[in-house]
Amino acid sequence: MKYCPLCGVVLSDADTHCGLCGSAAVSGKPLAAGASGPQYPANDNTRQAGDSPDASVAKVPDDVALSSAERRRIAVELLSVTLGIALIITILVDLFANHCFTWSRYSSVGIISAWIFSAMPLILIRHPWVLFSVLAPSLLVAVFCFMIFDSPPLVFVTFGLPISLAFEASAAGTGAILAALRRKGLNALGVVLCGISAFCIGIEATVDLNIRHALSLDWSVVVAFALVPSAALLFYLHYRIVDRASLRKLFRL
Amino acid sequence: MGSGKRERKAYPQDRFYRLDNSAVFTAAIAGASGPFVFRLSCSLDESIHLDCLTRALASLASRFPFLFVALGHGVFWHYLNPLENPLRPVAESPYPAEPIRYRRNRPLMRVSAYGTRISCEFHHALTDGTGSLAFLRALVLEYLRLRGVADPVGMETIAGIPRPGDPYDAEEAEDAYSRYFVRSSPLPDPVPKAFLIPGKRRGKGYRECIGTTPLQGALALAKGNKVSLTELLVAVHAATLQDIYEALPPLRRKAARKRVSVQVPVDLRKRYPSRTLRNFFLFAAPSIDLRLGHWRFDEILQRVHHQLRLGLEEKELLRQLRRNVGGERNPLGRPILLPIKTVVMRLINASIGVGSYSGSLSNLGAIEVPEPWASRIERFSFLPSRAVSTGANVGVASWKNELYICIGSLVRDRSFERLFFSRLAGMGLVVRVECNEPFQGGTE
Repeated sequence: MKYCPLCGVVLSDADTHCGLCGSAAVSGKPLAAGASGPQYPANDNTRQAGDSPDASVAKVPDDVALSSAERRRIAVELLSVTLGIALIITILVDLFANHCFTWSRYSSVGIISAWIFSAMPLILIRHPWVLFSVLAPSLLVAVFCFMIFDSPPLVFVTFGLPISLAFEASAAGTGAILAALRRKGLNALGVVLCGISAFCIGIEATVDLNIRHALSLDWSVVVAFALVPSAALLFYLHYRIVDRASLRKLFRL
Repeated sequence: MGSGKRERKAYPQDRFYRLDNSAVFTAAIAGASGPFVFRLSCSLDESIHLDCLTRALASLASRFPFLFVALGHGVFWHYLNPLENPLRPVAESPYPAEPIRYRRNRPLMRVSAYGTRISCEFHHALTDGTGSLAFLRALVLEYLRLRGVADPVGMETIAGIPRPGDPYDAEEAEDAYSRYFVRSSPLPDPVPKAFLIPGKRRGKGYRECIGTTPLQGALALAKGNKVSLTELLVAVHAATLQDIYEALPPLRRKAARKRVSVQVPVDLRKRYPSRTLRNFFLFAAPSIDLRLGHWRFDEILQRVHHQLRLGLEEKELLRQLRRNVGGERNPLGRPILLPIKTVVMRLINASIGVGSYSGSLSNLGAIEVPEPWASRIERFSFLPSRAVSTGANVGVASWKNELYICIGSLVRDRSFERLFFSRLAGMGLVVRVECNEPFQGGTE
């Protein structure tokens, strides 16, 4: 039988050194409990020559009853009821006060858009591209409605449509990159910042081309200079400092 | 477990555990002067076989996943990160209960072997005495099984001791404090500063003195005084501190604080049903006011007896829960970044935590292990965490017919241990004392 003369533990026959302290293994039989060996490892106050054990000197359980799908369904129902009541009341008030649709056109489009953009993600959470195909035209329709109430259709074509498309392109690109990320941590925030930068450039490009008829990027470049280094810092933190920890961990979600 | 269903499927390495309410505080304030690391040891009747211990430890990782973790730093909170590598036994340090540094993939638990002894050191961010004892018993049983001590036929569940093959019980990892938190409870009364053992503290090392006395004799003594064993030992603790106070020179005695208070952890599982193996305890703190003059031992005993019972009342415990859990749930505190939160918690601890108690006494109670394993176990012992402020703390456990009283001390002078055990001996108990640093004369 092999054992460690310092730790007093029995080692396997194949071991040449103790797996605990690295001392060379010794053949023989260590003393059992009750023998006169030391009961504690030697320290600076007690260490003496030859000290060794056989030397003679000494989930959180989710108690929530509802599943996530059930919670989502309840949220959709609450949203529908709340926004539906708001829609009816605003229309009725407008009709009683003005006997026609005036300001309630804006509130109605806003409320319906709010329902689409809040309820659809809950309904289509497992189908991101279907969700995008619903939200993208909805956004265009909402912007068109808002603009057509006060402006000629050309304004929508020159400003509303390109800016909406820039937003959708930025959101789609950001979403696609986020979906492709293996570990979503601070790097996800970095991707979002880059998406915001791209959207700002799209806004300024649209405005420049329609008003100045030439591309002259100013403020959006400043925004990009502020956000892109921040994104780089987040990427660095994610991959080098916090060991790719997920947002759930970092924010205790 | 905090990972979501979708993410857990794809990336199991994103799993993590939230800290329980007590751990949030201890993880933040732990340091060299109070590392919140305690040790449980089990001595067997033969030298430890390292191979079997390593295998037993590895087999328990899936049964106690919330213990095989490292501390991670989030944005607002710490979290517990599952270890990437298997936990292996280490050599027993001559300086027990050393601080555990927070490093990536560094466990908050140490398992060591020395001679016939298996020791487990736990950071309090992981678990309390009950949870750690459950793990140690499971480890020892599995080790002995690997050493050839067979399971009795048909004995599937052994005295409630988890086995490696048992399914993981998620309730064992719950934060039970939150479940019983009552928002409407008032905050506990402020606690004045208490008398502390005078004398220099050691910069290195931790003296462990274990007094062994027959359990029946100690129980008979407690019963004769119509108190529990814990109450008797707390009274001895308080009386010992009073002796130290009265032995001070007049000028130092005048400057010393006049209140002796002993912190006694209360296992809440006995009051609130919970299977959690994380922290789930609060404190009761009997005290005596030294301005009233000398207290006879019987007076201390009566006071401790009644104060402990008052401290254990459910409504009193709810006040502590309100303070602790309410602080964590405070909407103003939650969005504060972790480094700032850590500084704030340390300041709170320095102002109302450190110095409010003269010492602590923690009684694990009677440890039970069924046969045939029990006959292979010589003893259990419980070493409380280091604390520079109090200097010396007491851990108590009983095994078979023996009571093991373990005093962990950072005070250079050994007066506390000497007075504590000599008072017990003066009551008629036969106390055999051993120490990891035998007295060699002179000053230390």
